[in-house]
Amino acid sequence: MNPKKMLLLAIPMMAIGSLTGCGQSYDVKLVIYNWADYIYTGEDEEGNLTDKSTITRFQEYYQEKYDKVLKVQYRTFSTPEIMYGQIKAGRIKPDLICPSDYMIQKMANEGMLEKFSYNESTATYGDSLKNFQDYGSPFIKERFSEVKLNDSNSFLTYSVPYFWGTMGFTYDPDYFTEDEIGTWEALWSKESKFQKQLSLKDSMRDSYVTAIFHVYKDEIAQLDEESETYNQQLTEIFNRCDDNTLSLVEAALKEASRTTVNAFEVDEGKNEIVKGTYHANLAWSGDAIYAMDSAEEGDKRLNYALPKEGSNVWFDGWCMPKGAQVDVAEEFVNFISNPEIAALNMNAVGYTSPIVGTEMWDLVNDWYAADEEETDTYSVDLSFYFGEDAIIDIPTSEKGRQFDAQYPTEEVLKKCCMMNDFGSQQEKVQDMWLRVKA
Amino acid sequence: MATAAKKQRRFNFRGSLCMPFAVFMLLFVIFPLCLIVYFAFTDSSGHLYLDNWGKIFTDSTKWLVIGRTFLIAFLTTVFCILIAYPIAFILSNGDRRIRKNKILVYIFILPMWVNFVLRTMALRDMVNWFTSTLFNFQLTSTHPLVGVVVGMVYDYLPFAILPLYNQMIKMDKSQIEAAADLGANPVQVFIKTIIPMTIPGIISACTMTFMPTMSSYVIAYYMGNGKMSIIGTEIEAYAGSGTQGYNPASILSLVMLFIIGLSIFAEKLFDKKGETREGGIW
Repeated sequence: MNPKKMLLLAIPMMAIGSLTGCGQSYDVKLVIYNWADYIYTGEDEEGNLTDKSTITRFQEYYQEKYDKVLKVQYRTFSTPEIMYGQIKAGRIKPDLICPSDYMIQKMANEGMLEKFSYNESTATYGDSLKNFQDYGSPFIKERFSEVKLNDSNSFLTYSVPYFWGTMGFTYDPDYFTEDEIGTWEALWSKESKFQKQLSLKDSMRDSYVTAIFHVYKDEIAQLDEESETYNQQLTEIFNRCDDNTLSLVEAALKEASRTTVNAFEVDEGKNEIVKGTYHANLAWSGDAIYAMDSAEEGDKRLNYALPKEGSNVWFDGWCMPKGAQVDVAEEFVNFISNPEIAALNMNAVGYTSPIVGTEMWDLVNDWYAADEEETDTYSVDLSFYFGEDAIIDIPTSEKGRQFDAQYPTEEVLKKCCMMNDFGSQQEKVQDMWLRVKA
Repeated sequence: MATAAKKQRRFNFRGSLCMPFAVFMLLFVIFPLCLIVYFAFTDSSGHLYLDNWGKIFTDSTKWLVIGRTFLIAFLTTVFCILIAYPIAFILSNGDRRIRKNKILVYIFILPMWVNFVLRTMALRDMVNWFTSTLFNFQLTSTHPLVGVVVGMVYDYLPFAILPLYNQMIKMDKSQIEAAADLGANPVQVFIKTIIPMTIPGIISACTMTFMPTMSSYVIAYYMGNGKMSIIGTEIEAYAGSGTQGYNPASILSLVMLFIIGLSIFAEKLFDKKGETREGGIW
C-alpha cells in the first residue's frame, strides 16, 4: 500500500476514532440551542480559529471550578417558531434556549419554562446568577420586571437577557435628510422622492410595528410625553391587534407596498442598502451597524434613524425549557453574564449586551469615544443604562450613526415598546400578512 | 392451478432488482404524500378538521395567488418554447459549423451548472440596472410580475432547449427535403413537417418548464422583491410559521398537486399516440 492510499484510509479512521473517543469522555453535557451567528466563536474574518470561543472558555471554566469534564452541545435555529415547534413536539431537549421576547412570553405562559433563581419580591437573583445581579443593566432589569406573565411573575423569573436592540431606518444621508426618514410617515409619503425607495422586513411582526404607529398616529400624538406612564400607554396602543386594528394595518401596509416600498426582505437588505438599490432600509439595530460598517469600507456613508414616534425594542434572553439541568444552565448564564465574556460576544455579534461593568464601558469607549484632541464633540449620558456615572463624548460627525444605534438615550428608549405575542390573534395576523404580500 | 402456483413461487431475479426502487418510492414519495393528505384534513393537534379548506377557498387572495401562479407558469412555458425552439433548431440543424460545434450547446446548458439562487440574484441586479439606466425604474420593484416571468424564463430556458434539441437532432431530414421538393414553401415545410416531427420534444419541454415553475418559490421571492406571492411562497410562509402552519400548507400543496395532475392529464390528451415515449428527455 502506497503512502497516499494509507493517508486516504487514515483520515476516515481518525474521524471514527475521534467520534467514538468523545462518546463518554464527559461527566456533564449541556445542550444549548441558540440563534445562528449569535456568540463569539474565536474565529477571525477568514474563519480561522485564532482564539478560544465562548463555549471552550466555559468548558475550561467549569472543569476548573468543579473538576468535572463538561461538554457543550451547541446547536442553532433560524426562527424561534421552528425551535418552539421542535421543543413542543419533544424532538429536542435543550437545557438552554435563546428566543425573542414574545416567544419567551408564549412559552412561559404555556408552562414550558423552568424558573431561574430569581426572587420577585426583592427583585434579586440568587448567588448562582451573581454576575447578572451585579452587572445586569438597571434599565434592562426594570424593563424586564415590568412585563408580567400570566402567573404574575415577571420576565426575569423565566429569562436572563442576552442581547437587545431597536428597529429603525438605515438610510443614505445624501438622499434623505434625517427629518424626512426619522418618522414612520415616510412609508406613506406621497412625494415622488419616496416612491420605491424604502424596504420593509418580510416578517409580519416587524412590518406590523411600522403600520401601528401610522394607524394610531393621532392618538399617539395626544399622549403626554412627560407622563410617568408614557411608556405603558404607548405600549398599550402598540400591542393592539383586535380585528379592527388588523384591517386598518392591512390597508396601511397594502398602500405602502404599492407606493414607497421597494422590497420585502429579510437578510439582503443590509447589503442592498450599501449597494444603493434603495435608500432606506427598515433594519434591526445590529444589522444597521453592520450596514454602516460595511458602507464605510466602500467610502460610503449610511446613517441610522429611530423614528420620532417611537419604535420596537426587542430582547433575546436565555430560558430553560422544562426538564433542563437548571444548575448547569444557570452556571452557563452566569458565566456569559461576566462583563469580560459579554464584551467578547458583543464585539462578535454587534447587538447591544444588557451587561454593564468596567470591561463593557472600556469597550464602548474604545469603539466610540472621541479622541482627546477632537474638539467638535457632544456628550451622551448613559448613566441610566450603566447604573453609575457614564458620560461619553462622541464626535459630532458620528451623530446618528453606530453609537446611537447601539446605545439609544433614555429619551429615545422611553418611546420604544416591547411587543407582545399576538396570542389567539396569531392566525388572523398571519393571514392578514399573507394578504398584504399577495 | 399447479402451474400458476409454480409460476408464483419462482424467484424473479429481474423483478427483485426493482425492490430498492420500490422501497425508495414508498419512503420518499408515497409516505410524504400520505403525510400531506393527513395534515390537510387535520388541525395542529391531529384531530379531523375541515375548516381550513373552507378558510382557504373562501379567501379571495388565495384564488388570486393560485390564478397568478397559473398565469406565471403559463407565460413562462410559452416564452420558453418560443425562445427555445429557434435556438434548438439552429443548434441541431443549422449550418454545419454550428452543428459540429458542441461548445454552442454548452453555452446554453452551462448556466445550469451555476447555483441558481446566485444566478437569480445576479439576474435581478442586472435587469434592475438595465431598466433603471434606460427607463429610470427598477423592474422587479415596479413590475414584480414581469420580473418573476423574466426570472422564470431565464432559469428554465435550458430545460426547454434540451428536450427540443434532443428531438431535433433525430429529425428525418429527408422528409424536410421531400416536402421542399414537392413544392412546399418554407413556411409550409415548417408547419407540415418540422412541427409534427418535434411535437414530442415540445410536449416534454412544456412539462419540463410548467411543472417546476408552478412549484418554485425562490425566483418569485427574488424577482418579485418579496411582493409577488405564488403558491410556493405561501406554502413556505405557512410551513415556516411553526407547526400549526403545516395544515394550510398541506392544503395548498394538494391544490398544486391537483393543477400539475391536470396539466399532465391535458398533455396525455394532446399526445394520444404516446409519441413522447419515443423521444424527448423522458
